[in-house]
Amino acid sequence: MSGSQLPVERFDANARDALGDPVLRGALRRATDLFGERRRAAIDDVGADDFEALRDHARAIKDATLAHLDVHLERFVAQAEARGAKVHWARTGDEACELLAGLCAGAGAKTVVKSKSMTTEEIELGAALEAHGLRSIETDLGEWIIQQAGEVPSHIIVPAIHKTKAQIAALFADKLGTDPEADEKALTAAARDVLRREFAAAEVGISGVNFAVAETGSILILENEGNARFTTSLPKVHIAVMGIEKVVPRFEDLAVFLKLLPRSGTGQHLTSYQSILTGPKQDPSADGPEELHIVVLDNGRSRFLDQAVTRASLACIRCGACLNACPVYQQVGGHAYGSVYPGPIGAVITPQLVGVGKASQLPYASSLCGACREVCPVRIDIPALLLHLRQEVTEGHEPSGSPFGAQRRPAKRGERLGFRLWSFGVRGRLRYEWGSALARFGQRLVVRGGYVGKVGALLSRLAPPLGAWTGTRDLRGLAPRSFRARWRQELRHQELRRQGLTPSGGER
Amino acid sequence: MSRAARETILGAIRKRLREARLGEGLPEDRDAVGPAPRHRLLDADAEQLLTAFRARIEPLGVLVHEVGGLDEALELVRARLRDAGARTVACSDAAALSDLLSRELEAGFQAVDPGDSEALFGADAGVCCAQAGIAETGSLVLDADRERHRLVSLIPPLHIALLHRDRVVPDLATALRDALTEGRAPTALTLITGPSRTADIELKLVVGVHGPKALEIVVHGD
Amino acid sequence: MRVALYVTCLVDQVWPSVGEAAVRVLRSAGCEVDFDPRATCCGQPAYNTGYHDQARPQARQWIESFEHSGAEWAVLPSGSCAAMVHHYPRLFERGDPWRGRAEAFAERAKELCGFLVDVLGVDDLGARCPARVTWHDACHGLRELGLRDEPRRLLGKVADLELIEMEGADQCCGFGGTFSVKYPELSTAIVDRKCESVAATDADYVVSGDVSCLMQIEGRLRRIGSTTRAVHVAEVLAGMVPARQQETSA
Ligand code: SF4
Repeated sequence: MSGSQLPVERFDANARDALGDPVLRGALRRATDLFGERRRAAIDDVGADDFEALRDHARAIKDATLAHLDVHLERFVAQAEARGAKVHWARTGDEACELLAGLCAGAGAKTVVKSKSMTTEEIELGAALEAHGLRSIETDLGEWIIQQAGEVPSHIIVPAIHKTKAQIAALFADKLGTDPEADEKALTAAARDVLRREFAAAEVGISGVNFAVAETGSILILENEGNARFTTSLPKVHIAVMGIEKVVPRFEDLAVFLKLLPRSGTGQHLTSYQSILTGPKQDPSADGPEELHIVVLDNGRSRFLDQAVTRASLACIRCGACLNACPVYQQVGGHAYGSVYPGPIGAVITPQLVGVGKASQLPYASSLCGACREVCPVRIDIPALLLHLRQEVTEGHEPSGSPFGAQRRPAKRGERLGFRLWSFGVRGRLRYEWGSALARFGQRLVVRGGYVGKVGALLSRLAPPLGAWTGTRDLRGLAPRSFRARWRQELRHQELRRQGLTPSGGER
Repeated sequence: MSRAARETILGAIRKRLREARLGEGLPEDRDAVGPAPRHRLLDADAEQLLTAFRARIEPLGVLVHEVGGLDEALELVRARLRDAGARTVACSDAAALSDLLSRELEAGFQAVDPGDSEALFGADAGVCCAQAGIAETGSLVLDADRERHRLVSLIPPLHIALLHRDRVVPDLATALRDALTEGRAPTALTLITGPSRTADIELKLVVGVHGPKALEIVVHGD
Repeated sequence: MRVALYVTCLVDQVWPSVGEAAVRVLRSAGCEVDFDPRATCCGQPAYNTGYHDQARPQARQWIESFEHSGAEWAVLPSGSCAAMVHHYPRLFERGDPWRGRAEAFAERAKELCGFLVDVLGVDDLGARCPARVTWHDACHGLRELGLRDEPRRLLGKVADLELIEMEGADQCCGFGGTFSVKYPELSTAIVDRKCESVAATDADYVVSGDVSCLMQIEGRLRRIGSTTRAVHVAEVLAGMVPARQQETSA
């Protein structure tokens, strides 16, 4: 039932396909514009200065926590266990899936309701549970739509951002027999009815974790719809899956992140619901699950810790702001990245998770414009991470201790050779000047009236990087006379005259 | 398996952090991070807090009523239930609400046990008290160790919450601090800010997707 | 004040009038301008593509050039090349003496508009430009160097110039160095949005502080048959940009 990702190796082809889909692009543009506006409005409302101070504070907490992650994680686990939660550890996604399937079997589950969680998407839990004969139902409306359609999410906050109402109405008409012309209210109501029956029937609820608190052993889950509240309070057993990076030291620290996350992501001052859960119920007459299990997942994250630049990617609170702000994401959406984590943060996390060689295109799927860094509530320097990963790509490194050694693709020979040649050409002044003279001579083949226009573009196709440019854009050719030539012949002398000197023969 | 996994993961974290310490160095621990920026509402009085609270929550379509004492509050709740055409009503076990439904029953309304989830799916409204309100965000704070309202506030389509006017705190940090008892967090602390909503279809707002379609807050206290 | 002008390789080879304009502007602001032909390219193409070994010799070349210049400041008519200089220290290991030299250079390297306004405290250069113009914030100047008001202040003082802010002036033009040829369709889709915003202003000129962005915007504008032309802010400040009526009648 669950769909599969596009190939992560082929961002180029995936992106081209997305660019050819006007419906998708229209939806993306409306959505990302709207989120951008709302984010700005929410920040203006609280005052930009206050917000900036909060961002600094949040990042300082994350940095300090990650620097002593083992201590905080152990404290969290001890506190959660003291309150009756059962904590399990999983090194890999497969290990986590096995563990979760076992827990569900132990609870005698047939139906499992899931609330939206990127971590469970990352480990492809839905498919794993189905393989164990369980019905796994996504309950976030967007996720449920995606599940019905057999697709994968394309945004970390709004999973079905790429689908139009008409497409969803057609899907529901097919699956639920609703009116094919139904509006969003009727569609939502139809989903509500179906999902209420699932909530009532499910033996196990599986959620993610937005933050875990070391001080108290609590976990926090944010949402707008109420499905996470159902998932974590109605079934007898609640299982929460969290990456090792989710821990914050103090209960009060939650306030800082709650002020940042919804404002950055959806422009809300706070999402409708936060469930802050500590242990299963103790009083049999209380509401809530009898058992609470917490699965702590590594799945490659600990590898990010040794360098400051990569460690920063663990500070991410998955708000989605960088996706909305990214000019690349705005054009192609999430599927092109071939990963559960799309957009700028996906472009830096995915290669670290699945291998730099395998996801070697993703670090280049950015113009390095820095819009992501500008909006990131925890100030992750995503462009710096992209540059770091680009270097790993060209130098053939995988993160130390990663299992991807064997997957390494051969270095990009053509590009490498190109840059070696370029380097030879620019390292010395004479080579540079002769090289440009040669290029000036050569360009006469394609430059007309100072530009490579449509006509020149045909010929340019023979030289791939040039053709890639001129296929859609004119290219200003080399000027007949370079600046340095003008400097030598006129500009420099003007300066000397200004100083009352006469030009000497020698040049520096 | 999990034991071994625990050792492997913690070992990997420690090894990486050791390398980091030898390399570029690492920041000090959390305790070295100063206090969070102070929220401006921390200096506000009770009336200003309530005004701020309303200013945040009302734009989300939440009705806020201000009344005097508890009796008046209960009277208003009954009137709102009648207006909404609620026939079956679930009420939390809060002492303050113990009289609410006795009179409703006389009027021919049906009471639903707050712990009976099956019956709750058929209820028209749920009524409870909120343990606090947060001015900064317009949120209600529900502490499940004080009152049985975890499902009452979630399943029925209309949720009415009573909030004492002295219980509006300035900001999130204060609310969280207040929720701890000697460093212990409640089993379930729920923050509620507006009705259940979604924008998953073309970003068009729809309320009442899984949780309540409508939220009303009755602020009481002389 | 003595300044060393680093025109950057694109200006040198493709758009030399920008370098000439920068010389004029700096001189009229009272600077003594020097240019070292030994400095070629800042190394950004290699650095941004992940080839640090090829970028490093360029960093050394520029650092040495500046050290020899005896100038107080290095001025660049390009936000991205100035930002590249600020990245130089990252190319050298801690403890490598080049790292300290790179840091010293970075401290003295300024983008032209930032240099005029923030260092010299000059915003009126007495230029005239009778045209409607719109400003494009080049990403590196804006987000790495924090230049938002500086160019606007300078343009605001140009006589007869009408500045019309476009929507999303701070949105990327889609150039991104090798990005523009690795993902040409994507790069074009992004610049199309920029062209839309430019068109909506009905400007004679789109002005920016980076020749690379200008080549991208100009390239697309020309290809789609727009009459809006791209010019560098230095050219405007040097009074080298003609009124459009004159140009079209010529
Ligand atoms: S990287 Fe920053 S902006 Fe992007 S999702 Fe993470 S926290 Fe949000």
